[in-house]
Order: sequence, then structure tokens, then C-alpha cells
Amino acid sequence: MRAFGISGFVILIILLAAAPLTGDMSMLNVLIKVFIAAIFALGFNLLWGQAGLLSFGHAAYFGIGTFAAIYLMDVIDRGLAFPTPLVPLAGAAAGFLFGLVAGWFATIRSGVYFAMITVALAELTAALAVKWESLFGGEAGIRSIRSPWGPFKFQSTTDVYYLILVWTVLVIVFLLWLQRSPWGLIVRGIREREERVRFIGYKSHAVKTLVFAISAAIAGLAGALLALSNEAANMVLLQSTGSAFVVLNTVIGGANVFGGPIVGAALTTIFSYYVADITHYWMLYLGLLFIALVLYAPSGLVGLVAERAKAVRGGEKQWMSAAEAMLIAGLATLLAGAVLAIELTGAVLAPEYKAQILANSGQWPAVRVFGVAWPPLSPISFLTVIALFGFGIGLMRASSSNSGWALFRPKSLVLKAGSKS
Amino acid sequence: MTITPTPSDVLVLRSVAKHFGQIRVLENIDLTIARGERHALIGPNGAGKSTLFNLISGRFPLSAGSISLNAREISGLPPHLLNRAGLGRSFQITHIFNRMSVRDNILLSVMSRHGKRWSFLRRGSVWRTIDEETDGLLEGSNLAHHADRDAGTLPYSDQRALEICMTVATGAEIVLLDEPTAGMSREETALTISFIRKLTEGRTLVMVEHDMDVVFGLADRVSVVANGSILATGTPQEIANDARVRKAYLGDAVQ
Amino acid sequence: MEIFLVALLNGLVYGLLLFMVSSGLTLIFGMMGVLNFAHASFYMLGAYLGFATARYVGFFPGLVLATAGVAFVGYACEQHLLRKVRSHGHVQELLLTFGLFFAIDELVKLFFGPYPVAYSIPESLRFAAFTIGGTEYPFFRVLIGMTAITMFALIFVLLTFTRIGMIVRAAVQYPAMVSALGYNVKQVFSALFAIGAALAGLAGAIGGAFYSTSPNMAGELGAIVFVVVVVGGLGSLGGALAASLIIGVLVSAAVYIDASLGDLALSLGLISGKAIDGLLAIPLSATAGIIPYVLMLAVLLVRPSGIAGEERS
Repeated sequence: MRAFGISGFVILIILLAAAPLTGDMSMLNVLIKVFIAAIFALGFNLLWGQAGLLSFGHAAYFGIGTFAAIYLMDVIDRGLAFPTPLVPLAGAAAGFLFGLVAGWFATIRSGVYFAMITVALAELTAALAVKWESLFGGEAGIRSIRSPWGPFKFQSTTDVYYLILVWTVLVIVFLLWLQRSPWGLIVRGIREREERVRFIGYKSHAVKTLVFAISAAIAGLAGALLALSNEAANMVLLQSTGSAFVVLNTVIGGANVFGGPIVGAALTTIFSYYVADITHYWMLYLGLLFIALVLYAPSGLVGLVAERAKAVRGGEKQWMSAAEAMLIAGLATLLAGAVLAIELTGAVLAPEYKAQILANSGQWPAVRVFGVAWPPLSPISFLTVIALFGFGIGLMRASSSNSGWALFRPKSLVLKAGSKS
Repeated sequence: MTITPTPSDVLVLRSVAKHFGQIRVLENIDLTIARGERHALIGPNGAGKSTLFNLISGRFPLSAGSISLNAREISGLPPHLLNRAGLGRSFQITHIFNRMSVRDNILLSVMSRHGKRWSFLRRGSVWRTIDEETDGLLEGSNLAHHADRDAGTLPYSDQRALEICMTVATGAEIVLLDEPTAGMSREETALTISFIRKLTEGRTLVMVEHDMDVVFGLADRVSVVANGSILATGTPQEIANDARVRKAYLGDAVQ
Repeated sequence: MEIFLVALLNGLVYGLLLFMVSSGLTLIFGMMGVLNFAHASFYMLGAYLGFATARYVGFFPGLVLATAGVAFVGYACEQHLLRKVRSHGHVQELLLTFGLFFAIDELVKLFFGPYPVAYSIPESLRFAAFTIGGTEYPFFRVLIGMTAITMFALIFVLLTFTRIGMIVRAAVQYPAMVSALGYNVKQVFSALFAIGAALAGLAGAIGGAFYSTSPNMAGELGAIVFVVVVVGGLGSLGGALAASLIIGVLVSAAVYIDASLGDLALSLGLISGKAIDGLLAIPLSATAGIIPYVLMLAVLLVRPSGIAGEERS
């Protein structure tokens, strides 16, 4: 299994390295965003998956990394002989220093206190950034430029892509190594039973502070990569949306498997890239997906697959039974109905719509969803929504053998001992 | 009762008291424990023996008095420093690392013993010593065949054995065990008694216990905690014959 | 002098509003160990429901409808969502409430748009309650304060003098015991959750008209409510009250101080006039928003368990 993982990983890297050959620049841009989000999520999950500390304010360190990098880029542009490929280290360093201080405070308490303190610290940083215009550039942010280094000009997307890909691999290797180190064992011990760790002689507060700082450093590194990619830094990056998204990404992918946050980040980023143009409400859909996952698949999508793989290997289950397929088909239908309802509601409530009604001499114009025009007040729209709901729920009920509805019993987030995948 | 500690006393409690707000749980506790002694704390429920245990093991701060270890004041020390001073404790509710392997559970204690607390690389010959010690402890606790299992999947008595093993693995010269045989059957209790005797060979042992078989099987001396103070201290035999002790446990109804 | 009094009053009113929101949060945590990340979302929902209904039924009926609406939403969330994962541990429930917070933010944007809405004090209530020196003190601020105080008095009477109140107080301290005595602790908790939500909703319905109503409300207030709870000690109503008032007064006072940290250092002879730049040039009034967080850091340094927190770490 381990060998499959390594060779699979290598193949993936080769494929990713070959991606620029396709000449598809927009795909490269998406992948760049995916890598950055993945690194951020991996750093976040070092804190959560390994140390059991759930931080809701991690965007602060990401944002600080962005600004540290942009200032370094500026100084390089003015003549400092510092290699551009090493600029992310500035982000990591800034994130580390901040994380050291923030982490020291945050890890004085544990559990929900810790979570609240991380939120407050992030708000503090975001509020400071808004006020401190000379440093953070206010609403316009700060811009700079990638300087060439050696044979690399860093003017093309491809150059940036390879730079970020290399850093992604480095971060992954670093984190895997850290996890397997003796110190990594102590960190997991703290996650399992902190009091015990203290009573066998470790200073748990110091260890937690360091793991927080490393996690913040990786977030800062991701931020620096963004600064390199965009040649810009903005205080918006420090705000709560970024913190929320990294939590979302990790939960969607799964915190208990190393690759979970990567998959979650990839899915969310790709989803937002392609869907954000189609609908205003893509964040609502993500939020609802998050809630559904926390309830019914708290080990994330990767966790789900891993658990199923284990059951298949153990001979207990198939990959997908007919009942489960029917359940999923029903669920998809139900979701289509929900999306239609949400899109129609949103479109009708939007201020532009009132203007459109007036322009249409009092008639409510149709709204385009799924490529079809739906007149909001017509029975067709209502009936379609109801039909989709009904059909979906019907399918789900019909599949209600044990394996069917079992998907809908809320599951526990806490991995039982012995069920490592 | 004034105490005059002797050089062979490894743990000395003087006028120790503990209040939780208005409630005076413990008052005027004086106790000395000799090196290498096996000492049991017994008493009726709610008498304060668990609190006393938690005071000695550094889980609660003292309200008054002092506790010294090898003539060094230890009250108020944080848990990790207590451990490094030579104190190790187990917990009544098993405090093991559920989702880590049995070997890793013990390894963490052994690493701490050898000072490997900030180690990022496995470099140096000390790691072979650490691994050997870990394997030795696995064997000695009869857990070697479970070495790679998640600790949380072990049967209860094996978990308790692991708990005790982890406590001892830190090299603690004073081992504090909190109701080590809680929830065990008679056979398991008997096995645990000999297990504890073997593992705490040459060390000082203080334990809280309810089970008189354990007390008689293990303890050199016994202290009875009742109504927030120490009623009597002596050999198990002396305590068993002490009328005051019987009264404390059984009340006035029985003569 | 009158500026001082006005600032003090403003601070107390804001503090009372904060307490209306944080009291529910701290009680719910004290009882069930549940940190409701979406608690400030109830505040926001109260404001939006107040806005939506006041247009049709008037301001005060709108308040009532908003409060009832949020109580219902809170109750429904607890019964049908939160309860499902409670047995699986606090972290999962925390994540679920976080998801709720996120989703409610987006839902509000769906129904009301991503910009602030024009929820404001009705004309009939824009008068002065009294004057301090030469300054008129707005009635609406007094209304906020009075609403808060009335709510607390009601709750205090309920808790202290009724049988149900006694059961609730016991259940907050020893839920298992109260359950063993035959009371349905789950229902007690659901009711408590709904009441906490209602309080937050009422605070929002009234506060949103005065301060502002936008989709950012929940996030902004949420962070400050967390500070209140950390500073006051989780589970302690007294601590939350003290912390709310302290934060309210400090923030309010800072708004009136135009001097900056740099001016202060200058007057102390620490730096020269030229060095006042960047961070040091920000007037204290602008840092008012940051004060709660600085207070939190200070408390963590000095007394980690909070004003009224317990010994356990």
C-alpha cells in the first residue's frame, strides 16, 4: 500500500510537470491556485490532524506571508541580489515569527478556548491591516514585480507554475518527514492525551507553540507563493473568508489522511473557478456541502473513499451497491431541485430583477438556470422544483435497504482506534 | 502528629491542606514515605484520598503546607518538571494514546526519559538504547504481541497494564498509581499485583486502592484517609486491627 | 465632564448589548460544552428579520416577530442538526456550528444582497431622552439599555424564583444528575438554546437598527463575543457581564480620544516628534476596534482562566 502511494505520487508529479506542454494556460492558472490552496490546507492540517488544534483564524498567517513576500520582491527589484525562487522563505519566516507569538497565546488554553482565541487574533490582525494603510496598502493593496534570476525570467505562467510546483513538492516532503520524526510523535501524543504527555515529562505548551508556528510558516509560504503569482498583496487576504475556506477545504477532503486537505483544496478551488461565473451562490452551495459532510461524512471525501477501500479489501463491501447507486441518484436529483429553487429565489430577489420587471412592462422575465429559461411565476418552475424534490426523495426511500439509508445516519468525526486508513 | 523526616524518606508532606472554595477537603496532612517503600492510601469514599493523591502528583495546587521530594520542595511544580524530578503517575481513567500503537505509547515515555524531547532526527546510538528499552518494556508488560496495534483497541486490563508501563518507563523513582486495579476481575487483579511488584522493583510506590487484596499483597505500609485527615498509618496488619479504622469504614453500627 | 459621562453611558449600553448576545453563548457552553460558532449569526438574523418585518408591521411588532423568528430558527437548528452530532463529541458540533455560521452568512446574502440594508431607527423614536450638560442623549440608546436590563431581570426572576428556573440552574451544573432525577434534560437544553438565540435575536433586532445591518455583522460581532467569553470565563454569567461592560466602556472611551499612541510616547519623552509614523500615528480612536483583542491577550497573560474562570486549565 505504501509502495502504491509513492509510485502513484511520482506519477502524479510527472503528469503535473508535463501539464505546461498542453499549452492550456487557463488550466495552469487553476493548478497554480490549487497548489497554493493545497499548501495552505496542509499547513492547517498539521495543526489539526496532527496536534488536534482547530484554528479558525489561519488566514492571518497566509496574509502576512503574502505581504512579507511582496516587500522582499520589491527590495529585489531595487537591486538586492536575492534569488526569486527563494522568496517564499520570506513568507515562511514571517508566518513562523507571527505564529510563534500568536501560538504562544493561543495554546495557553485548549479546545474551544483555543478556537476562539485564533478567531480573535485573526480579527485583530485584519483590523490592524485596515487601519495601517502605509504598511498594508489599504484597499488597493501593494504591487510589485517578479525579478528574473539566473536563466529564469519568471515572466511566463509556465515559469511561475514550475516554481510553485517545486515548492509544493518540497512542502509535502517536509510535512511527511515531520510527521514521522520523533517530535511528530510527541505532537500526536498531545492530540490524543495532552495531560498524559505533560506527566511523562514534556512541556506541552512549548510543543504546541512550535507546531503552531510551523503551521503558520507553511501558511505564510503559501501566501508568499500567491504574492509571486499575482505580483500583488492585499489586506483582504487576512480576512475571515480565507480562514473559513481552509477549514472547508480540509473537512471536505478529510483531515485524517495526509492527502485529504490536498484533495479538498483542489475540489473547492476548481469548483469555485468554474462555477463562480455561473452562479452567485456557489459559496452557499459549498457551505451546505460542508454541513452535509460534517454530518454524514466527517472524515471527508478522501476519508470516505479510504474507508470504503478498506471494507472492499476486507471483503465486507463492494465499491458501490445497487441500493447505494440509487440513493446517490436520488440525492443528485434532490440537489438539482434545491439548486433550481435557490437560483430562482436568488435571481428574483436581486435588485437588478426589479429593474428588469419594469423594463418588461410589469411581467416577471425568465431566469436562466441549467441553460433553460424558467419563468419564475409560472407553474412549470414550481412543478419542476417539486418534481425534482419528490423524485429525489422517492428514489432515496426506494433504495432504503440498510446500506441505502445508512449513508444518512450522522457519523462520528472521531476516528475510532484501529480504524486508520 | 509531628513528623521528623529521616534521610531515607523520599517524600515528605507537612501540614498539607486543600480547600475547594468553602469546602475543606483535606486538613493538616503529615506523611512521610521512605525510599523503596510501597505505600497504600485507603479510606472511605469521599474521604479525600484521591485529592491527596492528586496533590502529591501535582495535578492540583496546595492550599497550604508543603510537599518535598528528596528534600526538595515540589508543590507548585508543573507536571513535566515533577516528572523530571523523578515522579511518575498513572490515572484512574486510562490515559493512554488511543490512536497510536502500543509501542509508540511506551516509546514516548522512554524518549522522555532519555531527554529526547526536541528530537527531529533519529541520530545517535542512544536511539538503539531507546528502542531496546521499549522492546524490553513491551516484553515485561506482556504486550509485545500487541506492539503494533492501536492502544485503544486493547482489552481493558491490557490498557491498564500499558498505563502502568508508561508511568514506569519514564524512569520515575517514585511511582504513583491511582486505583490500578479498578474494574478488574479477581484473576486480572492477581496478575496486576505481581505485574506491579515486578515493574516497581527498587522504586518507591504510592497507590490509592480500594481492593484489600491489593493492599495486603503489595503494601509495606498503609495510610487511612478519613474525613480529610490521616486517621492512622501502619503495616497492613496493624491497620486491619485498628478499631478507629474499622469505625471509619463501617460506622458506629459495628463494634 | 459631560463627554466622560456620555462616553460612559454609551459604553454601558454597548456592553449590555454585548452581554445580551454573549450570555446565551456562555450559558450554553457551561451547560453542554457546546461552543456555538453561529451564535452571532442569531444576532444577525434578528437584525435582518427586524428589518424585513418592520417595513410591514411597524418597528415594535417587528422586534417581537424577529425575536420569535430567531428563537424558532435556533430551536430548529438545535433539534434537527446539532443534536444529531452531540454524542460524537464537541469538535464535530463545533464544526457543524461553524458550517451553520458560514451558510447563514450566505443565505442572508441570497435574500438581502451582499451590502448593508437600510434598517434604521424609526422617525418616531429619534428624540432625546435627557440632556447631560449641553449634550442630548438619544432615547434609542436608552431603549437598548432598558431592553437589556428588562430581559435580565425577567430571566433572573425566572431562574431564581420559579421551579423551572431551579431545574435549569441545576441542569447547568449537573446535567447527568438532573436527568437521573427524571427530568428531560434534553428538552431543558433545547429550550435554553432557543432562549439564548432569542436574546441574541432581540439584541440584533434592536442593535441592528442603531449600529448597522450587513452580512458582515455575524463575523464581526462573533469575534468580540468570543473575546467576552474568554475574558469573562466560559460558563460564567457574572464574568461575561463584567467583560462585556469593560469592553463596552473601553471601546467607547477610546473613540473619544484623538491623541495617538505616538503622542502619548512623545509626551512621555520616549520618542521624537519625527518618529511618529505608521502604527504610532494611528489615533487611539481608530484603534477602538482593536481594544477588545488587546484586552484578551492581556488577560491570557495574566489570568488565563478569565475573570471568573475556574482553576482547571
